[in-house]
Amino acid sequence: MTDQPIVRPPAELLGEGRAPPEVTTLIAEVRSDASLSFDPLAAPNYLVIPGVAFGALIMWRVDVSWTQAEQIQSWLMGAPPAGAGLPSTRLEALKRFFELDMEAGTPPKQFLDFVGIYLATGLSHAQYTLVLGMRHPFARAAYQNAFDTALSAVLASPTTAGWGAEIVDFLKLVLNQPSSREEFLTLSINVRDAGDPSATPPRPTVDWPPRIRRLV
Amino acid sequence: MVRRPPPAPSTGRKPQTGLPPKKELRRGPRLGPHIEYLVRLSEGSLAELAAQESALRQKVLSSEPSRRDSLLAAAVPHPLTGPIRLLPAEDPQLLLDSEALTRLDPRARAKFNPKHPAVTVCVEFLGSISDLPALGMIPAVQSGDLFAGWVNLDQIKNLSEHKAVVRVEALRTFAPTGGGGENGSGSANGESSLSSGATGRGVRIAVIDLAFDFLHPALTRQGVGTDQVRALWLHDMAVKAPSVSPAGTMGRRFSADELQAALKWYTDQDPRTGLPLAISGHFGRLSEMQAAPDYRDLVARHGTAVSGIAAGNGRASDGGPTLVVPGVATEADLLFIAIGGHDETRFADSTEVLAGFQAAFEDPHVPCVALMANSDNLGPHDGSLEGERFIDDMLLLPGRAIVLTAGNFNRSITDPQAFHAVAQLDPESGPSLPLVLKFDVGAVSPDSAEIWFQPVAEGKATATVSIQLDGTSIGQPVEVREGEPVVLLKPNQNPDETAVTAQLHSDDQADACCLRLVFRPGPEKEIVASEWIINVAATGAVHGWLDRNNSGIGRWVGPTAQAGADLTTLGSPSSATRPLCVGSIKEREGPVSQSSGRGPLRTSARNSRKPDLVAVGENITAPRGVPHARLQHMPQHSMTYQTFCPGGTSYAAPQVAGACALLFELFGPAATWADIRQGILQATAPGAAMGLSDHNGWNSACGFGRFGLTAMLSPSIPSVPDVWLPKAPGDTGREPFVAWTFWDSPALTLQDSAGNQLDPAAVAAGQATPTKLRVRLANRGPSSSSDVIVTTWWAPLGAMHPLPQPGVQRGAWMATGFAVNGQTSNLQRVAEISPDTEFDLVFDWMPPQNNDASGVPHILLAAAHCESDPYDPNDTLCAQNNVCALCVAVADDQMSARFNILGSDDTDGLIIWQDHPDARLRIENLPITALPWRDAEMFQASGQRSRPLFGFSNAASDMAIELSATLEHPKAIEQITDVLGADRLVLEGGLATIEGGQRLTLPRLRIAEGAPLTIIVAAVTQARGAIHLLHLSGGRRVGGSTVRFRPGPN
Repeated sequence: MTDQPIVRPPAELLGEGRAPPEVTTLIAEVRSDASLSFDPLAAPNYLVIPGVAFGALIMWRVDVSWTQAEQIQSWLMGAPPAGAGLPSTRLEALKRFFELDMEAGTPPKQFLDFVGIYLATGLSHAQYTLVLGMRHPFARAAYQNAFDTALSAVLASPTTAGWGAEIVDFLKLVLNQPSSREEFLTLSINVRDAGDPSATPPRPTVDWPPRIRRLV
Repeated sequence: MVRRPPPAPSTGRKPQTGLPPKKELRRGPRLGPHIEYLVRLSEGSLAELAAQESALRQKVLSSEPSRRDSLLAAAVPHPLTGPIRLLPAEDPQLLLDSEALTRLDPRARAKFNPKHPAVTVCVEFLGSISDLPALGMIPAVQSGDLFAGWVNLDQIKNLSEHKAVVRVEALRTFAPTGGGGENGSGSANGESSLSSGATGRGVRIAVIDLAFDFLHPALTRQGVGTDQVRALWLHDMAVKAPSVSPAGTMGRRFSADELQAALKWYTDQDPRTGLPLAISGHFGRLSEMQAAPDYRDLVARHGTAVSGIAAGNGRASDGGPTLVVPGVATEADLLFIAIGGHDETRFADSTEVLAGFQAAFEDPHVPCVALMANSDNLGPHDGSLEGERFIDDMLLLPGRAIVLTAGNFNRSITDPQAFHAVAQLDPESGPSLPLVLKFDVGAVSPDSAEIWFQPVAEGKATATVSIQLDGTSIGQPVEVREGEPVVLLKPNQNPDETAVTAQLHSDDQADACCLRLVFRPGPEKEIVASEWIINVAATGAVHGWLDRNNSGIGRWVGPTAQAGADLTTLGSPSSATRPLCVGSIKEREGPVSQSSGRGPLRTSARNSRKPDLVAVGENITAPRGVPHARLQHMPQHSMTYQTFCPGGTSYAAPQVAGACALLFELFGPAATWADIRQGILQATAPGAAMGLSDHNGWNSACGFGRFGLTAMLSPSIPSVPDVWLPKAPGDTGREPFVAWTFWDSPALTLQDSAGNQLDPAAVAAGQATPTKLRVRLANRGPSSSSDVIVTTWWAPLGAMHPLPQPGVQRGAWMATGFAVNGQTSNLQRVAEISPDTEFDLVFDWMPPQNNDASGVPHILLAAAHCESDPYDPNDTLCAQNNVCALCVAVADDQMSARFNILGSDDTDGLIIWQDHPDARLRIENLPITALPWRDAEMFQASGQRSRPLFGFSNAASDMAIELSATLEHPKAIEQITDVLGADRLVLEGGLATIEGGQRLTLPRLRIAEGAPLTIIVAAVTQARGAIHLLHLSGGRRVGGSTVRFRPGPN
């Protein structure tokens, strides 16, 4: 689909980092009812998802030190624990976890696209963004339930429990850092181009190009 | 009688003629329009178009699911280059590399370059499968004269020029038809078979679908201590064949042991072993699919749901007996045939589909129902498409049935997605309305349209196409004639660089012309917004079908598009004649689903009506497949069933497939497709919401009505007078009567002058002489039969088909020798037969004799006709219970039997067998003209492209008469002559002697309609019991006889 290969950061940019903060809890909360279509034309360019319309985009961002970035990079490119039918890299396994293990709705259906994990680099630190797309919008409770159910199922299987534990650790790293944040991008039709005072706010029509409203 | 459907239709096809049905003079081009387009493309920009389509296809598979609810009916494009493999040697699914070629052809005669582009084709070929590699084709599957496989594009013309090649066409792609229904309300599957005791035990259901969760509890069997898989195997056509296989081998088969190992691995709490092959192979492939969630979901669920509806046992959990929603044939054995690499351009092309059908029927001893829910909306829509003829041919033998979906391509008059348009043309009534095709902005995929019509007069057909861009006409209307393609629009003539070509072909099989338009957008561009106004010089209906690649954006418009709504929108191959075609209704007493494909066929020439019937297809509850969870050894999901909404014909057809399995269980392996069809259609009922029907009770939306499982399983209780002449001692009067033999009627009794009953064998042996024939009639109905006309006939042994018709000389039947009250007559009337009573009629009867006064082996027949229960001479004897036969014959020399049959209007076949399992049989001096002789070199050397049928006046010109040959291997005999069960064949002087075991099957005889053929059969080792001959016509049991051996002196 549209996932992008993860490129290891240039070695010269990886400086000495801080020790990672201690993490104790897992947050799997999404703050939106995700009820509108996402405008792919307005998506950040790096997502490279032209022609794909989502009900919403879930973006998990975390700022990390370069040391942590290196750890994440190694982790993503490494092999998951030997187990049932897992692909060769954790990145691919993570994609399958979101796309194939998570189901929502009645009857339950697969509903997520794993768009990718993106690395933004700066002088001081690195930033990872994990992007998931929902084709059909699901309410917060349904999404959370799907997440819990899928993770529980992976943890319950003796052949994937090790992989489940790794997912937990990874998500703790991503979601439970001081800099962790979740963003939910959905269609916005009430934002106008602030750079052009004369621009008229777009009106809701069937084919009107949508904009993004940042919820968080 | 109960409500009897019209006789099973005939295809009118004869094998090995190289001729279309009932056509002897006209010949169309040997290259079909699609392959010709691809060949031209290969000389130019094939790679570019393939790349363009591949990118587009991937985008569509990964993009927003649908413009409406119909995910797949609309969104999965059929690439023009879909049948092509640019580099076959490196294909991830096909085995076409050099090593595999060497295994297929150790002598390196194969003219196939695995590094050159190849195309999957269907070839109508009069040679054998072993001839094809040397002609450039790697065959994968065969049925009769049709072969599917791969050919290098640069070898197509060479192949088509060979004298044994009748026609070459690229195979179409078939797309899933799941989805497309509208939300309905009410209950789902309707009735249950559980209380009837019928379970489908001993019968196979082969499901050809996308993927299967074969570990679902509904599809396993509760065993002692551990569950057992029900599938006998799973054949995944999208997994590459094992590397030891020869080139052309399709897919990887996972055996029952491998599936059971997978079940054990999954049910182990802590499995220590690695992934079983079936898990990693089948489920692993699905996990790698790149597509949108809805599409992934459908692939994961569709095949499991379809299987569960047909044959699920209703269990929701491992080891548990809980019945949630059981399917129909709960104990049938399952065969899973997975088609399609779902994220690639070669999606489910029909080589896979045809190979799937062949795999389904590979065991000749076990009855099998094959079910497929995939179709395509282009094609002639008359049953003449290569794939349709292929699966029709597969039903020539008993024990086989096929159930297909009607597809979900129908659109209402208000729907903008008009895939079909029709104009009724009458040259005498003035100007006609054109078909108008329109593309709006946004048509990104290459597309194609087909316009099928009957030319006005003999000679070349013509069509004219006018083009409008932005409402402005471009140039003059372009005339298209048969032959070379015409460029309608060049890239430099429009801003989108769209190229459009048209080609007009005559199609012998369809007996019509096809104008094919191909629309190709420029790179990274769309098909230019345009209108195409198409006029053809035709008589009768002109049909236009548009592919679904730009669904809703490309469409038919105007009055002819409106006329095409709710009409002739069946998918291909559901127009095939012999399979059952099932549409969908919303609920038990509800109307037809809007998207359910509609009949009638484009032409009624074959007297075939499609769809055959409907079943509830919406809001169906079925097992929920979770292949990815199985792959990861995750625990059983709490929700093991789900209700499918939107529904579609995919969920209706499996109910009928399950019912077919129950009928096979009831009837046994002698049942043919026609018997199953009759049993199913007799259980249909018209619904109030189904609209008007014709005089046969058929309408274009619902066929013969809604299927009723309870009605099928209930003992048939006639509602009207039912005159009955039992065909065998065990006959209950149910229609159809199904048995291997049906000419031993207890209703017919030979008597001497004193009225003593005589043994037919003794009469045949000349040990007794009858003077009377007693006919004992019964009435099974609830009321009296009145004015019953009974006629009696005799015919030479074996010549039962066609049945006699009073007042008309028909077939071999004769009315001589019968008398009533001293007057020559074979007819008597009975004023009344009360319910549940029997009535005897006696005819004076003088059996036929030879000149030497010896008896003539013969068969007697009696038919009873009354207004409320008519006798139909156009139907088969077994289809109606008011006609019966008695065979009077013994072996004249204690070793051999002589049978006579008449060629029918369809493919004739014979099954000959002896009772004793150790017996050996020999067919003596069979004219070779009556058999296929698949030798490509014979055709090439003679320069002839066809052989005359046996019985034609020019039969003596058959070049096979000149051959001398001895074949001593069963496989070789089968390849050359199609004969099954033989291990020695000697051909000399135009006559073949064929020897084999207890049973010989000749599925494709070449006999002209009405031509008499004598079959001499000798018992080689065991001259005991009897020799039986069953005559098949188009796979229907139409006649036969038995010759008994007289007990020896010891």
